[in-house]
This record gives sequence, C-alpha cells and structure tokens, in this order.
Amino acid sequence: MKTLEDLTPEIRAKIPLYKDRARNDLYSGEEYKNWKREDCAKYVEYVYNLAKRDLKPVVIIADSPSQYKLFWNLIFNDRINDDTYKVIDQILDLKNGKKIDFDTSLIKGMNPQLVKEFASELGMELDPGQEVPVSEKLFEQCKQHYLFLMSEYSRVYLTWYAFINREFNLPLKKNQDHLDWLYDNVNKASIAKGFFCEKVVLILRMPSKIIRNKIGFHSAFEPAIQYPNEGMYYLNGRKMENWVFEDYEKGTLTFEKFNKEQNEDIRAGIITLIKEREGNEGLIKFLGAQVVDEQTVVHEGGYTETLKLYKTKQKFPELQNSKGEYNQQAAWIYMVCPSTGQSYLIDTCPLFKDAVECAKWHRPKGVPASVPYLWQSAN
Amino acid sequence: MEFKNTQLHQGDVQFFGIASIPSNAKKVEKQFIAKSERSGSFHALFGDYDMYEVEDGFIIDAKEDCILNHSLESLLKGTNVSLSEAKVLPKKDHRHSVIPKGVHFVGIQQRFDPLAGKKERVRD
Repeated sequence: MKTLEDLTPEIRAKIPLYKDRARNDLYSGEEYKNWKREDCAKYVEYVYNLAKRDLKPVVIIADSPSQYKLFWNLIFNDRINDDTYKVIDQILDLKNGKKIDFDTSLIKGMNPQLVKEFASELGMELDPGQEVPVSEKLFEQCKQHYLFLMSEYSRVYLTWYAFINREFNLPLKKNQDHLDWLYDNVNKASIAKGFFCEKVVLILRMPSKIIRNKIGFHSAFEPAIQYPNEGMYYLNGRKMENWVFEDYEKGTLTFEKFNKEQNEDIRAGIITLIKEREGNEGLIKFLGAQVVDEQTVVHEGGYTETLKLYKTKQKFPELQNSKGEYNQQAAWIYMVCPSTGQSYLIDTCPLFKDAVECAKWHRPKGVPASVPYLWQSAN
Repeated sequence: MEFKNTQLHQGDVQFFGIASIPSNAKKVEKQFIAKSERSGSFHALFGDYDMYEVEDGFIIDAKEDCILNHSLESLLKGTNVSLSEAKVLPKKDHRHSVIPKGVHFVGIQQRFDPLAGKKERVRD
C-alpha cells in the first residue's frame, strides 16, 4: 500500500508537468487548432466499447455551446424532433455493419450543421437542400438541457489517475492498457461535455482559448472562454453578463447603472473591469472620489513627497474595511515614485483619515507604525 | 525586531535598518528580493552580504555598502555579474540604491484588497 509518505519531493515536482500537459495547449488554442473529428469520435467509441456496449453510437459534435444547445433540441426535443431519430437509427445500423440503403430523403430540409455531422459519421456527402427553419416558438417552449453526463473535469480526474498510476508505480491488475490509452488520447479527443445515450452521443468540443488568472477564468479585455464565434466573460472566476462588457465598450456603462445593479459579483466585476482597463484613476473618476487628506513629507536630503488620501462619498456593499466590515467607501492612497515619476493609486482601508498614517500602514508586514515615515533614499 | 531610523526604498522594495539579526532568521542562499514574472525584472542586492529569511521578508547583513539594482534578468545573464559583486546594472525602471553596511529588514510594500478585506504584497 502506498501512503502520503511515498509522495517524495521528486514525485511532487512532477505534478506541474501533468498539469501543464492537461492545460497548456488547451488554454493557448493549440489543442483546438490541431483537433480532428475522427480522434474525438474514436475516443467516444472506445469508451462505449470499454463499457461493453455492443453498438458504436452515432457521434454528433458541436463546435460551440450555442450549437450544442441547437443540436440537443434538434435531436432530443420531442416538439422539434421528427425525422432526426430515424436518421440516427439508420446511421447506427450502417456504422455497425448492417447493410441498408440510407434514406437521404429524411434529411431534406434539416439543419445543415446537423446534417454535416451525420455526413461525417456516414463518411459521405449529404445535401440537406433548403433548410426548413424550426419556429422560434418551438425553441422557446423547448426543454433546456443543462445536465451533462461528462464534463471538462473528466480530464482532471484522468490526469490524477495517470499521475498516481505512473509516478507511484501502481500498475492496474487489469485494464492498464485502457487507462494508458484513455490518458494518452484525452487531449486529442478534446471533449468539453458529453451527453451519452444508447444510440447517439452529443459532444461539445473544448474552447478555442481560455484565459485565467490565479483565481479562475479572467480577462478584462476579451471573453475568458472563447469559441470561434462566441465567448463567455469572466472576471476573477466569476461569470459576467455580456452587457457589462458591451456597455463598457459602447461607453454606456454609467455610475447610475452600476448603482442600480444588485448582484454583488457583477458590481465587483464592474470595479475590476474599470480598474484593469483604466487604472485606479479611471475608477476614481467613475466612482466620483475626492481628496480627503493631503500632506507633504520632507524626507532626508530634501526630497519631498506629496501623499493624498482619496475616498468616495458613497459606500458600496461589496467593499470591506480592514476589520472585515462590509458596506464601505472605496479609498486610495496616492503616491509618486521618485525614480520613475509614475503616480500610483494604491487601494487602502477607508478607515484612514491621515495620509501619512495610511502610507505607513502600507509598508511591509512587520514594520510597526511607531517607525516614522521618513526615507533616507527613495528610488 | 528593533528598528533604527534607516529607511530606503526602491519602488515597492523597502529596507529598514534594524539593531541585530533576529533569532528566528534562517540563513539562505543569496537570491532576488523580488521578481516580476510579467516583465522579467528583478530587485536584487549586489555585494558582500549574508541573506536570511524571516516570515515577512528577508534580513540582510551587509558587510559593506551594497548596491540594490532593479534590472532585467535577461540583462543580468549577459553581464556575468554575481550577487556578490557590488556593481551597478543597467536599470529597468528604478535607479540603483546604495544599501549601507549594517543589518536591514527588507520587505515588499503592501496594498489593501477591499473586495477581500485584507492586505497583500504589491505585485508588478
């Protein structure tokens, strides 16, 4: 039996390598670029075979979340699905060696994107002709599928299994070759989500780009999760509604809108967005902050420094002070770097009234307030 | 730590003179005091000194006047200058500082995160 004591520094040092393998090409978009449909379909069929399913399923792959939703409804929604399942039955038979004549009349008027998937499974060209659009009303009434039977975290689990299996030298008594194959091919399959049924599997591909910070999905400049024609905005791991970014780009993200917003995550997101795009100066302007204290300190050698303490008039429910109390004003200490001339607005605790005391508080942890704020050299 | 009235800073890296090396300080190899992954820049002390680690930063026991440089890692690699030589390197943003002989506590300026309600080291 292996225990945590077997996790030597050498083995621990390999964890980042496994993480990098799971993430780097996915985040950068290399994985999306190099993806091949047959690798993905082969992976699904391998899993069905491993699960001792007799039939190879029909694999339908969506390139984006919106296409996934469209396909799901076209295949599984009773109000919309008419001939779709007949087509799936026929493809299923053909994929599994039955000799039948595929009835191409069934696909006439179907959604061409879905027909393209059928064609890929059949390995032949199919022409759906003129699409007969499904009425918006049916889509409005349709059931929403949001429970996935496989998620992007499957790769995370598989990576940990492989790490334990390989680095602790714990070979499986059976199925070792399957674990190896699944791990070796999981990135190529590039599956974000999968809805597995007896005859048909609906897959959503991994995104074309992912942007994160140390907290989670994060980008103040573009969608943090991207597919070629759509994306999802996140700030510090929190999902942001599109209007936040759209309004910002249009210049219509006003303080009044911010004030009316009740969702704390969205409010915090707006603050983060403005701060990352325009710096603290932009945020001060947006929030309408003013100087509450200004002092000039003469340091040794005659160098003078002007410190300013800014606060907003208004309190914000999502902001805390250093005591952890919510509903506080936003506050900043203004300093200028003597070497570069760069102005800094550093977020501070709104409890301060004195700019010099505030500047002392920002010194490194462990320096007591009794040490005067007086530099012999500042560069 | 007993602080003396010697204070120097180079950007967000701040030096404070102290009376002696704290008993809990652990001697470490000389290393960069701070490094920016984003820009490739670093703050590092060059000269004859011993470096110790404490919970909130480092203790520097400077045996001579040392040079605190803010430069680029890529530039340093080309110079063959070691951390034991009190030399001035081409600056990245901040001018070099002379750190006088003696014992110093060095730490990083802090910022307050009002969304989290806590202080953290300034990052660049």
